[in-house]
Amino acid sequence: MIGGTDIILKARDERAAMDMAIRVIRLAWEHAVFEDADTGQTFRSYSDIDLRGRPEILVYRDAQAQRDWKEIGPDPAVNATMIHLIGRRGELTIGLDDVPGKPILSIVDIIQRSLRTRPELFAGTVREAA
Amino acid sequence: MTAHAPAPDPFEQIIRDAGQGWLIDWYAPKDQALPKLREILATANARGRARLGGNAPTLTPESLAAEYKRNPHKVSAFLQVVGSVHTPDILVMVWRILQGMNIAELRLDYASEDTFRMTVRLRSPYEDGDDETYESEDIDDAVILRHLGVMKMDDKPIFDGFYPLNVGT
Repeated sequence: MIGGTDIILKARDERAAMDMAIRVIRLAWEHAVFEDADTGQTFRSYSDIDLRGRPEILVYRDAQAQRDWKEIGPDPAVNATMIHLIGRRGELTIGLDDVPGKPILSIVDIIQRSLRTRPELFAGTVREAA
Repeated sequence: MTAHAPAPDPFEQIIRDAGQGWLIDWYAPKDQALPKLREILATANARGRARLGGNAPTLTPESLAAEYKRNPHKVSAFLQVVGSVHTPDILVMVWRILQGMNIAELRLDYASEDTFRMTVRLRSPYEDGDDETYESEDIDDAVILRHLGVMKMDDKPIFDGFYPLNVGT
Protein backbone atom coordinates (compact mmCIF):
# COMPACT_ATOMS: atom_id res chain seq x y z
CA MET A 1 0.00 0.00 0.00
CA ILE A 2 1.44 3.36 -1.04
CA GLY A 3 -0.54 5.34 1.50
CA GLY A 4 -3.23 6.40 -0.91
CA THR A 5 -6.16 4.56 -2.35
CA ASP A 6 -6.52 0.79 -2.44
CA ILE A 7 -8.82 -0.92 -4.89
CA ILE A 8 -9.59 -4.41 -3.67
CA LEU A 9 -10.80 -7.03 -6.11
CA LYS A 10 -12.08 -10.43 -5.07
CA ALA A 11 -10.06 -12.95 -7.05
CA ARG A 12 -10.62 -16.68 -7.35
CA ASP A 13 -6.98 -17.11 -8.35
CA GLU A 14 -5.10 -14.09 -7.05
CA ARG A 15 -1.81 -15.18 -8.62
CA ALA A 16 -3.30 -15.44 -12.11
CA ALA A 17 -5.21 -12.19 -11.51
CA MET A 18 -1.96 -10.47 -10.53
CA ASP A 19 -0.34 -11.88 -13.66
CA MET A 20 -3.09 -10.33 -15.75
CA ALA A 21 -2.72 -7.00 -13.94
CA ILE A 22 1.04 -7.03 -14.55
CA ARG A 23 0.52 -7.71 -18.24
CA VAL A 24 -2.01 -4.88 -18.52
CA ILE A 25 0.38 -2.45 -16.85
CA ARG A 26 3.21 -3.66 -19.07
CA LEU A 27 1.14 -2.82 -22.14
CA ALA A 28 0.51 0.68 -20.79
CA TRP A 29 4.08 1.21 -19.58
CA GLU A 30 6.35 -0.21 -22.24
CA HIS A 31 9.47 0.09 -20.07
CA ALA A 32 7.91 -1.05 -16.80
CA VAL A 33 10.21 -2.36 -14.08
CA PHE A 34 8.96 -4.84 -11.49
CA GLU A 35 10.06 -5.18 -7.89
CA ASP A 36 9.26 -7.61 -5.11
CA ALA A 37 7.97 -5.28 -2.39
CA ASP A 38 9.20 -7.63 0.35
CA THR A 39 12.70 -8.42 -0.86
CA GLY A 40 13.48 -5.51 -3.16
CA GLN A 41 14.44 -7.89 -5.97
CA THR A 42 14.06 -6.18 -9.32
CA PHE A 43 12.83 -7.79 -12.54
CA ARG A 44 13.53 -6.03 -15.80
CA SER A 45 11.15 -8.14 -17.81
CA TYR A 46 7.84 -9.90 -17.30
CA SER A 47 9.33 -13.27 -18.23
CA ASP A 48 11.76 -13.07 -15.29
CA ILE A 49 9.06 -12.76 -12.64
CA ASP A 50 8.20 -15.77 -10.52
CA LEU A 51 4.97 -15.01 -8.70
CA ARG A 52 4.91 -17.97 -6.33
CA GLY A 53 5.78 -16.65 -2.89
CA ARG A 54 5.71 -13.05 -4.08
CA PRO A 55 2.44 -11.60 -2.85
CA GLU A 56 3.46 -7.97 -3.39
CA ILE A 57 4.82 -6.54 -6.60
CA LEU A 58 5.63 -2.90 -7.26
CA VAL A 59 5.36 -1.97 -10.92
CA TYR A 60 7.24 1.20 -11.84
CA ARG A 61 6.66 3.08 -15.07
CA ASP A 62 10.37 2.76 -15.88
CA ALA A 63 13.78 2.46 -14.25
CA GLN A 64 13.93 6.20 -13.58
CA ALA A 65 10.65 6.03 -11.69
CA GLN A 66 12.06 3.23 -9.54
CA ARG A 67 15.12 5.36 -8.73
CA ASP A 68 12.92 8.37 -7.94
CA TRP A 69 10.79 6.33 -5.54
CA LYS A 70 13.91 5.06 -3.79
CA GLU A 71 15.27 8.59 -3.43
CA ILE A 72 12.25 10.66 -2.49
CA GLY A 73 9.56 8.14 -1.58
CA PRO A 74 5.86 8.91 -1.85
CA ASP A 75 5.70 12.47 -3.05
CA PRO A 76 3.58 14.35 -5.58
CA ALA A 77 6.67 14.46 -7.79
CA VAL A 78 6.42 10.72 -8.38
CA ASN A 79 2.66 10.53 -8.75
CA ALA A 80 1.41 8.21 -11.48
CA THR A 81 4.71 6.35 -11.81
CA MET A 82 4.11 3.25 -9.68
CA ILE A 83 1.33 0.76 -8.97
CA HIS A 84 1.44 -1.58 -6.00
CA LEU A 85 -0.14 -5.01 -6.51
CA ILE A 86 -0.92 -7.31 -3.60
CA GLY A 87 -2.31 -10.80 -4.13
CA ARG A 88 -3.40 -12.50 -0.91
CA ARG A 89 -6.21 -14.65 0.43
CA GLY A 90 -8.43 -14.45 -2.60
CA GLU A 91 -7.98 -10.75 -3.19
CA LEU A 92 -6.01 -8.63 -5.59
CA THR A 93 -5.35 -5.20 -4.14
CA ILE A 94 -4.24 -2.36 -6.39
CA GLY A 95 -2.52 0.34 -4.36
CA LEU A 96 -2.52 3.81 -5.88
CA ASP A 97 -1.36 7.34 -5.16
CA ASP A 98 -3.25 9.64 -2.78
CA VAL A 99 -4.81 11.33 -5.77
CA PRO A 100 -4.43 8.94 -8.66
CA GLY A 101 -4.39 10.70 -12.00
CA LYS A 102 -6.43 9.82 -15.04
CA PRO A 103 -3.72 7.66 -16.67
CA ILE A 104 -3.45 5.47 -13.57
CA LEU A 105 -7.21 5.21 -13.18
CA SER A 106 -7.41 4.23 -16.82
CA ILE A 107 -4.96 1.37 -16.23
CA VAL A 108 -6.94 0.22 -13.20
CA ASP A 109 -10.14 0.33 -15.22
CA ILE A 110 -8.56 -1.88 -17.90
CA ILE A 111 -7.38 -4.35 -15.24
CA GLN A 112 -10.88 -4.57 -13.78
CA ARG A 113 -12.55 -4.93 -17.16
CA SER A 114 -10.05 -7.57 -18.23
CA LEU A 115 -10.61 -9.57 -15.07
CA ARG A 116 -14.37 -9.37 -15.57
CA THR A 117 -13.94 -11.24 -18.84
CA ARG A 118 -12.44 -14.13 -16.84
CA PRO A 119 -14.91 -15.36 -14.20
CA GLU A 120 -12.43 -18.08 -13.21
CA LEU A 121 -10.04 -15.33 -12.05
CA PHE A 122 -12.38 -12.62 -10.83
CA ALA A 123 -15.15 -13.09 -8.31
CA GLY A 124 -16.87 -9.82 -9.10
CA THR A 125 -16.72 -7.91 -5.84
CA VAL A 126 -14.94 -4.58 -5.78
CA ARG A 127 -14.41 -2.17 -2.95
CA GLU A 128 -12.16 0.79 -2.33
CA ALA A 129 -10.30 1.64 0.86
CA ALA A 130 -8.56 4.91 1.61
CA MET B 1 8.41 -54.17 7.83
CA THR B 2 6.42 -51.51 6.04
CA ALA B 3 6.14 -51.59 2.27
CA HIS B 4 6.61 -48.15 0.75
CA ALA B 5 4.64 -47.04 -2.27
CA PRO B 6 6.86 -46.11 -5.19
CA ALA B 7 7.66 -42.41 -5.41
CA PRO B 8 5.23 -40.69 -7.76
CA ASP B 9 6.50 -39.73 -11.17
CA PRO B 10 7.55 -36.04 -10.91
CA PHE B 11 5.68 -35.18 -14.12
CA GLU B 12 2.52 -36.84 -12.82
CA GLN B 13 3.00 -35.03 -9.54
CA ILE B 14 2.95 -31.55 -11.10
CA ILE B 15 -0.02 -32.51 -13.28
CA ARG B 16 -1.95 -33.56 -10.18
CA ASP B 17 -0.69 -30.65 -8.07
CA ALA B 18 -1.84 -28.30 -10.81
CA GLY B 19 -5.33 -29.78 -10.54
CA GLN B 20 -5.08 -31.38 -13.96
CA GLY B 21 -5.17 -35.03 -12.92
CA TRP B 22 -8.00 -35.55 -15.38
CA LEU B 23 -5.34 -35.57 -18.10
CA ILE B 24 -4.20 -38.91 -16.72
CA ASP B 25 -7.39 -40.31 -15.22
CA TRP B 26 -9.55 -39.76 -18.28
CA TYR B 27 -7.04 -41.16 -20.75
CA ALA B 28 -7.60 -44.70 -22.00
CA PRO B 29 -5.64 -46.76 -21.35
CA LYS B 30 -4.68 -44.78 -18.26
CA ASP B 31 -1.16 -46.17 -18.06
CA GLN B 32 -0.41 -44.68 -21.46
CA ALA B 33 -1.36 -41.14 -20.47
CA LEU B 34 2.07 -40.02 -19.25
CA PRO B 35 3.98 -41.54 -22.20
CA LYS B 36 1.54 -39.82 -24.56
CA LEU B 37 1.93 -36.46 -22.80
CA ARG B 38 5.70 -36.83 -22.89
CA GLU B 39 5.52 -37.57 -26.61
CA ILE B 40 3.36 -34.47 -27.21
CA LEU B 41 5.85 -32.33 -25.31
CA ALA B 42 8.82 -33.83 -27.14
CA THR B 43 7.22 -33.12 -30.51
CA ALA B 44 6.41 -29.53 -29.52
CA ASN B 45 9.90 -29.08 -28.12
CA ALA B 46 11.43 -30.26 -31.41
CA ARG B 47 9.15 -27.93 -33.40
CA GLY B 48 10.20 -25.05 -31.19
CA ARG B 49 13.88 -25.82 -31.79
CA ALA B 50 13.32 -26.11 -35.53
CA ARG B 51 11.49 -22.79 -35.67
CA LEU B 52 13.27 -20.65 -33.13
CA GLY B 53 16.69 -22.26 -32.67
CA GLY B 54 18.40 -20.93 -29.57
CA ASN B 55 15.41 -18.74 -28.69
CA ALA B 56 13.10 -21.74 -28.43
CA PRO B 57 11.43 -22.45 -25.13
CA THR B 58 12.34 -25.76 -23.51
CA LEU B 59 9.19 -27.86 -23.36
CA THR B 60 10.03 -30.91 -21.29
CA PRO B 61 8.50 -32.43 -18.16
CA GLU B 62 11.51 -31.11 -16.25
CA SER B 63 11.11 -27.54 -17.54
CA LEU B 64 7.40 -27.62 -16.72
CA ALA B 65 8.21 -28.81 -13.22
CA ALA B 66 10.73 -25.99 -12.82
CA GLU B 67 8.25 -23.40 -14.07
CA TYR B 68 5.57 -24.84 -11.82
CA LYS B 69 7.70 -23.86 -8.84
CA ARG B 70 7.90 -20.30 -10.19
CA ASN B 71 4.50 -19.72 -11.76
CA PRO B 72 2.06 -22.57 -11.15
CA HIS B 73 -0.83 -20.74 -12.81
CA LYS B 74 1.06 -20.66 -16.11
CA VAL B 75 1.77 -24.38 -16.05
CA SER B 76 -1.87 -25.08 -15.16
CA ALA B 77 -3.02 -23.06 -18.16
CA PHE B 78 -0.58 -24.89 -20.44
CA LEU B 79 -1.53 -28.32 -19.15
CA GLN B 80 -5.21 -27.56 -19.72
CA VAL B 81 -4.62 -27.43 -23.47
CA VAL B 82 -1.73 -29.84 -23.93
CA GLY B 83 -4.04 -32.80 -24.41
CA SER B 84 -6.43 -31.01 -26.76
CA VAL B 85 -4.20 -29.00 -29.06
CA HIS B 86 -3.43 -30.98 -32.20
CA THR B 87 -0.73 -28.86 -33.82
CA PRO B 88 2.66 -28.88 -32.04
CA ASP B 89 3.42 -25.34 -33.24
CA ILE B 90 0.36 -24.08 -31.38
CA LEU B 91 1.73 -25.47 -28.11
CA VAL B 92 4.97 -23.62 -28.79
CA MET B 93 2.90 -20.49 -29.39
CA VAL B 94 1.02 -20.92 -26.11
CA TRP B 95 4.28 -21.17 -24.21
CA ARG B 96 5.65 -18.12 -26.01
CA ILE B 97 2.58 -16.14 -24.89
CA LEU B 98 3.12 -17.37 -21.34
CA GLN B 99 6.72 -16.20 -21.62
CA GLY B 100 5.50 -12.70 -22.44
CA MET B 101 5.06 -12.46 -26.20
CA ASN B 102 2.27 -10.10 -27.27
CA ILE B 103 -0.51 -11.20 -29.59
CA ALA B 104 -0.13 -8.78 -32.49
CA GLU B 105 -2.63 -10.38 -34.85
CA LEU B 106 -5.13 -13.22 -34.84
CA ARG B 107 -6.98 -14.24 -37.98
CA LEU B 108 -9.68 -16.85 -37.99
CA ASP B 109 -11.20 -18.23 -41.17
CA TYR B 110 -14.06 -20.59 -40.45
CA ALA B 111 -16.88 -22.02 -42.50
CA SER B 112 -19.05 -24.75 -41.00
CA GLU B 113 -18.13 -28.20 -42.24
CA ASP B 114 -15.65 -26.66 -44.63
CA THR B 115 -12.82 -24.46 -43.41
CA PHE B 116 -10.86 -23.73 -40.27
CA ARG B 117 -7.71 -21.70 -40.43
CA MET B 118 -6.20 -19.85 -37.49
CA THR B 119 -3.18 -17.59 -37.90
CA VAL B 120 -1.57 -15.89 -34.93
CA ARG B 121 1.29 -13.44 -35.13
CA LEU B 122 3.20 -12.85 -31.93
CA ARG B 123 5.32 -9.80 -31.33
CA SER B 124 8.13 -9.48 -28.87
CA PRO B 125 7.62 -6.80 -26.23
CA TYR B 126 11.25 -5.89 -26.79
CA GLU B 127 12.40 -3.77 -29.69
CA ASP B 128 14.99 -6.29 -30.89
CA GLY B 129 12.63 -9.26 -31.09
CA ASP B 130 11.25 -10.74 -34.28
CA ASP B 131 7.60 -11.50 -34.96
CA GLU B 132 6.59 -15.16 -34.94
CA THR B 133 3.66 -16.51 -36.95
CA TYR B 134 1.80 -19.69 -36.03
CA GLU B 135 -0.82 -21.40 -38.17
CA SER B 136 -3.31 -24.19 -37.70
CA GLU B 137 -5.93 -25.80 -39.89
CA ASP B 138 -7.26 -28.07 -37.13
CA ILE B 139 -10.28 -26.80 -35.21
CA ASP B 140 -9.14 -28.73 -32.12
CA ASP B 141 -6.57 -25.97 -31.72
CA ALA B 142 -9.36 -23.42 -31.21
CA VAL B 143 -9.40 -24.49 -27.55
CA ILE B 144 -6.63 -21.99 -26.96
CA LEU B 145 -8.92 -19.05 -27.72
CA ARG B 146 -10.90 -19.35 -24.49
CA HIS B 147 -7.69 -19.00 -22.47
CA LEU B 148 -6.65 -15.66 -23.95
CA GLY B 149 -6.94 -12.49 -21.90
CA VAL B 150 -9.35 -9.99 -23.45
CA MET B 151 -9.15 -6.26 -22.99
CA LYS B 152 -9.54 -2.82 -24.51
CA MET B 153 -6.89 -0.16 -24.28
CA ASP B 154 -7.88 3.32 -25.46
CA ASP B 155 -11.00 1.55 -26.71
CA LYS B 156 -8.88 -0.61 -29.03
CA PRO B 157 -9.05 -4.42 -28.89
CA ILE B 158 -6.27 -6.49 -27.38
CA PHE B 159 -5.78 -10.18 -26.74
CA ASP B 160 -3.04 -10.64 -24.16
CA GLY B 161 -1.88 -13.41 -21.88
CA PHE B 162 -2.94 -17.01 -21.46
CA TYR B 163 -4.86 -18.00 -18.32
CA PRO B 164 -6.11 -21.16 -16.64
CA LEU B 165 -9.76 -22.14 -16.58
CA ASN B 166 -11.35 -23.94 -13.64
CA VAL B 167 -11.22 -27.33 -15.33
CA GLY B 168 -10.48 -30.16 -12.94
CA THR B 169 -10.62 -28.09 -9.77
